[in-house]
Amino acid sequence: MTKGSVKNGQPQWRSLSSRTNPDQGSVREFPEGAENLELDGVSRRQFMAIMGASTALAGGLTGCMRKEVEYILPYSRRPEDQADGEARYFATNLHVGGVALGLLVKSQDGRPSKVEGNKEHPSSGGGTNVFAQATVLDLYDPDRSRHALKAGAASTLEEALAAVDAALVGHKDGGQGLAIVIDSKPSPTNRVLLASVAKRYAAAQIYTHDNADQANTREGMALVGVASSHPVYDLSVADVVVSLDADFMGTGVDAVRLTRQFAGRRKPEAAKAGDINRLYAIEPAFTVTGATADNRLQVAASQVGTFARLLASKLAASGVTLPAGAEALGGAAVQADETLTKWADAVAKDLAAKRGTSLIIVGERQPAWVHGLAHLMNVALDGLNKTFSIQPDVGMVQTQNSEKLADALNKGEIKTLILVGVNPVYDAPGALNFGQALAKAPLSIHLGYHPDETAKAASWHIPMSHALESWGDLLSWDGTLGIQQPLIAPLFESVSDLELIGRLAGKSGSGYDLVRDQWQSAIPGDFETAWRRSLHSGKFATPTGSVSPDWDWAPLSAQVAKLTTAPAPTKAALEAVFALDNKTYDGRFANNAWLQELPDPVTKLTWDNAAMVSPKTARELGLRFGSGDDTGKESSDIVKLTVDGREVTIAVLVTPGVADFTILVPMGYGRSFGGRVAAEKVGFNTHPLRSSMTTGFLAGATVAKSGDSYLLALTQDHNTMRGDSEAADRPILRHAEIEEFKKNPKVIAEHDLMKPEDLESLWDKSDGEFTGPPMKYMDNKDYPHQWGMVIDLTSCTGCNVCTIACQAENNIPVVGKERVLNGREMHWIRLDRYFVGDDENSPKLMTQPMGCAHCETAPCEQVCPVAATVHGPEGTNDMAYNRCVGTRYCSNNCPLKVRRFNFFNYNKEADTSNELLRMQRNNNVTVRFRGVMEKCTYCSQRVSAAHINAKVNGKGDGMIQEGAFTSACAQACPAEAITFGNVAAPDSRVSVLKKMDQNYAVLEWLNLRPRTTYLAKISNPNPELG
Amino acid sequence: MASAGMDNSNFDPLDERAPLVLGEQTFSAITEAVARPIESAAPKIWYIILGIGLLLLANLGISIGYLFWQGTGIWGLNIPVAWGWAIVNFVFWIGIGHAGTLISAVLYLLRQKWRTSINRAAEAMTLFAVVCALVFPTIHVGRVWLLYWFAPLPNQMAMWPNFRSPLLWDFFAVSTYGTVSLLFWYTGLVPDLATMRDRSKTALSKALYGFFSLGWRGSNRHWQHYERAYLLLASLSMPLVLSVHSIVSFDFATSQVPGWHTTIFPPYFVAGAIFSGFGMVLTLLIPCRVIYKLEHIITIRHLENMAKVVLLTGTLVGYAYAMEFFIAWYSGNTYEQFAFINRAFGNYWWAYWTMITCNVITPQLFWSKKLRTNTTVLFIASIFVNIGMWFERFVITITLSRDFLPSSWDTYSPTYWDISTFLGTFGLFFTLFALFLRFVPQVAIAEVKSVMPIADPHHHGDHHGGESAHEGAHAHG
Repeated sequence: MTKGSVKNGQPQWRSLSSRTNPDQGSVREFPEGAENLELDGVSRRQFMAIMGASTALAGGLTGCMRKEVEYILPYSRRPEDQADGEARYFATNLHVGGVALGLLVKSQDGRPSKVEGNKEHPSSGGGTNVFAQATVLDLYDPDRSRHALKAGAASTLEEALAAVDAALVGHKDGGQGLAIVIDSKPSPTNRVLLASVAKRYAAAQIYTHDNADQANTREGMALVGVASSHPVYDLSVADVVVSLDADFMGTGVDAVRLTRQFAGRRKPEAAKAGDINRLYAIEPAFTVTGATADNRLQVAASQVGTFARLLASKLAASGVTLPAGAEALGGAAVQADETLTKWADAVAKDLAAKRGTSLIIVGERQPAWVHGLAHLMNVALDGLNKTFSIQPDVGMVQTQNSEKLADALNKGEIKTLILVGVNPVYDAPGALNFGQALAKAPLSIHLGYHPDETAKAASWHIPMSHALESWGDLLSWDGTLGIQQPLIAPLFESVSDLELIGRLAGKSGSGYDLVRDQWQSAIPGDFETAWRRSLHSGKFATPTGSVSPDWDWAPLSAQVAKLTTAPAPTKAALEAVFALDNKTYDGRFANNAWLQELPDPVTKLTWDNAAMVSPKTARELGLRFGSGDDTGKESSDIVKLTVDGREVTIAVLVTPGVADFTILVPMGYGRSFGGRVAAEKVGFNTHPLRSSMTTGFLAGATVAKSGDSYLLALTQDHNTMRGDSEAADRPILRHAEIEEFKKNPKVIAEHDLMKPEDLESLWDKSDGEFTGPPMKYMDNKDYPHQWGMVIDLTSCTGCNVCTIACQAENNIPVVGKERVLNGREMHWIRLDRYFVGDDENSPKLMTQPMGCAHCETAPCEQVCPVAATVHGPEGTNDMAYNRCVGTRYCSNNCPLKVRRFNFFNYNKEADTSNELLRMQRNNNVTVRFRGVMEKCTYCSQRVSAAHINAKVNGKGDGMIQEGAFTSACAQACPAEAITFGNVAAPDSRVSVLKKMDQNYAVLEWLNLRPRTTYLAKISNPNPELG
Repeated sequence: MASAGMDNSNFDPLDERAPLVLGEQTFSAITEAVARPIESAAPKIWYIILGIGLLLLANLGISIGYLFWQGTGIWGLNIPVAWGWAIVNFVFWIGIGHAGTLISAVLYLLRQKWRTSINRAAEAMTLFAVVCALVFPTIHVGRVWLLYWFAPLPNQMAMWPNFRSPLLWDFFAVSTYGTVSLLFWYTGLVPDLATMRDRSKTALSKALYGFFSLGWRGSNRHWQHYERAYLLLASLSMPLVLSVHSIVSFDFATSQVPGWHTTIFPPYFVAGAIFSGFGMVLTLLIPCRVIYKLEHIITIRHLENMAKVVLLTGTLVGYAYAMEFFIAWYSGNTYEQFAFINRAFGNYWWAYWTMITCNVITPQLFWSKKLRTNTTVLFIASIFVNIGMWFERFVITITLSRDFLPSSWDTYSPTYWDISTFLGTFGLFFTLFALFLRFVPQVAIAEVKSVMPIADPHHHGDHHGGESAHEGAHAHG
């Protein structure tokens, strides 16, 4: 995409009047104000007025509404390669949720509408995460900053930028008193520009403030003698992985790539051969990674370091030579309880046995010395440049941390503070008291995407462009360089972070010029070709080389030697553990309704955060478990949580898998500004409890019941232990340990309540001989494509990305907390979570993606009185929305309960509250209306597109090639757990998987013959740890 | 003849048959007793009942208007419980609508003469209950303006409804039942409307009764046609009594939800329907016979007979409840077993035990003759039966809350609009019933006369009373 064609990426509009006033162009099915009615505060007068007119309006007047005359304006000159209505894809790189990802973004008539992973980019490999999927909704966020603010009052971009220039003039004398705060976005151009700012204003200070910053990880690297670098893991060669409080497949910085690599080592064939990797997780509370682990130990976060030390000594005892200068760590006596010792013993033996293919990963929450210890052990295990390598950070300029910034502000050293894309007033640790510190700067200029807390406190606020609207470049965690190219011109007047920093550096060019200039000088040879190629593929050909480390273990040894064993938390002194939220991260996605309504992978909580404690801790503290009736309507205690005099109030959610006397507090909620969704009483702000940016957990927390209670919206029953014992004999999520499976490959099928030969039906062949369950249309030569899906539970981590990819692809509305409480969430594919095991405090956690299984003998089809849900010739169970009258009988008869009903006119509501949302809509998917049922269609729009493509470009037989397309969920899945394809082709991947021993159908005894089947979860636990 | 007392329940059958009508034994006295309430001013209580009925009816209008405006989201429905009170109420009303036709058609064909005193009111109740029942399937769909798609109408889409769906069977079953019940009721009314016409004092009532009595003159030919038509309609109605609720039960039984997918449902639903229908007849007639001073026509013996039917069907229903549990256990299917254990001991245990108490335990009181001839006990028990049968449908519907996958389990609770709509249908029912009491003879005058001893000139000649009795009745009317 060249600079010129960016101009095509503008919103389409139907007429001038609809452009200037988007409301007028829309045809209202119901009169103004109708959608407000179901809110509680309906005035009697309004209600009576509507009642009076209701009978007439329900049927009559809508037909008589005169529609406005509209003109469709064609292009006078059609851009190259543009066909109206046909989607195009552009490669770009986005920094979302702390992760730099190579992506392909779909553009429909100039509107970016869906994000996919870039297969050619190592950071993605084709997968994405929830944040990347949800970023298109952020682009069309109606609450995003639309104009500049001067002291909170509306202003214009020109005035604001003039203020920036004026401020800079005042700092001509070397920049004394000038401070710039940036986020941790790893953009080379950004850093080069900052370096020139630093040169221009020698005395200016540059700070990094970002909860996504991997400061502990970097410091851990520095502690062992390798500065300005970070470790990059290669799980594709790792047989044994130990996670020390690392959610490397969840909120971790390289999660998409690592998930793909990790899952790549436990594919069905490997499971069949009995050769899959093993993951140990030692963590204070369930994470996506911990739930995936084969062996999981829950310990307080403060005990993870103790475990690391224990592990180092046990490794030495297992015959692993620790490198020179660190031998002392091997002999150190560490006080630890029996469980930790037993675990360290077993894990060390396993690691030692797999020398060269074993790896220890430490989470960002842990202090630097734990990272250092892990590097030491990884080196001792001969992992360097095998299981891990070292990549240089995007350097060029040294920055200082947030603590220093608050300090400087408090000392009055900063006269002009320029905040670029950060929101420290909300997300800085409470101990820094940032709001007050900021007020001490005479001039503060904030560039931000939302009019947020910092925007409100700053003297100036400048709207920031979305990453899909601006040029940039990114160095991904694994060292791949790529260009961030925009897909649309900024929807509102705004500048990008790059452009603002360029302005500070005295370069007034556009983002495009800044990025090009940077790379023109950096790339030798034919620049234009390299540039175009990188725009096409999403990355530059040459990755940055890895660093050859010059280890220095002495500082680490010295620091560890001085450590005393951290005391385990007790009832009187709890341990507060801070966690990045799986949905809002640190609060930056708080205004994203898709993410707010996404059920948390562990707790299934939506629209809130809550402090999590184990059942045991809750009993000890006398906290409520909730209503206990599987209602999903959890009335929880609100507590005052205090550490070192700092206090927050937060609801408590009792969750299995949390270490004793640990209280997990997710960040990212309780915003006071920053959009309607974020600020509307969603959750509790926990940042005030934090002491510093790098402190992940704090000892000595106390909890006091406030006496209030709070309703949490969970999408799954909460009192899960009871639910599970009741469900224990229901082989819905089937799992086996690998030894068991190797011994008896039929162990999965043995869970069947009915043997396949007992499940004959009308569809079976009538020649008397049973040939196995036939596919209904299988023999129909007119329909050689028969769609089916296999979901591999061994690979699935429960990360949720399928749910949100489906939401983005299929125009699925968000319904809000109240309706989630009512059990009316709309997700077409959900992740069913089951706790497994007898111990209510530390069960196993398993997830099962569940969407419409497209049963061949679909129970929904036979009960629909108007034949609105019928079978398609390619074996799909189709919904004809236009035919649906909404009896909801199909949902009742659906054994999987995957059908979703439009109880209200959700999409209409969404359009009314967000006039930009319709730009996100997939124009190939019907926007459903009130009163109709909906469900997974196997992405029928993609099937149709593939058919058209096969007819136009194929070999003439109309056959869609294997792998030509896939469903949205399968495409987004970083673990490649979902396989979609043609089950009628015997050698297609999906057919091969369906023949495997792990394959089973949920509720097979109902003879549903679902097209979606599952591969049972095969785990590889260490037998020593049971 | 023990005509002195008002208690004909203890009559010794060996000595003589108990009289079905007590008090003054003349035809004109019967006509007078039934027609008087229509011709004289209505009692105060009637205005109160009508007033409450109209208020609730207005409430129904508002509830439905708001529902149409907003969508079914105003109710407490969710996924997995996509059917809530609307379907509970539908089955409840349809069940009540069973007694009338059963009394008129089945008992007629079985020559149960005691039916004559109560069949008119029971049939009216049936019709109004069916009207109330029809409200729910009509309004509960998501897009009510497309409801006509249920009907097999020719259309440009060449789309038939799905004949495999039990909801479609429902559509036909209930509409057929409603139509036949109306015709049957109306046919039976014709001679009495003619009586009212003949007694009319105002031109308007004469014209109206005249119009609806279809020119009835009571000629022999009229009686012959009438009897033939009545017999045919009775024969036509009889299978419907059994089929309608069987088909309603198919809504549940043909699905595969554990706790719904049960072959016992059709007979069990029919028994339940008759049970609830008789319960409602008792609830209505016990006050009516007092208010309108019809104790000599709707006698204790009638009430007692109905109590016996309640006892029988209530026990049948209890047997069905027990059998459901047995079959669930016997099936060896954990899903099925759980569904039933959950009914009795899960979140909604209170609904289940309310149902058991009202439906199984309450009718057992009627083993005692003393209790079943005590109108106060009968009245209270009949209310219990109504409550119990509503809860039966609630318990069945709510089984949805915990089906196959524990991950989808949720609970259901009604909203204000659920409750208001249900109360609204009581408004519709009582309004219609009050209007019926005011404008239509609430006892089948001609038929009651036919079972009086004086209708039969022969002594002990019950077995061939028949046509001549009717003729005589009219002649003397």
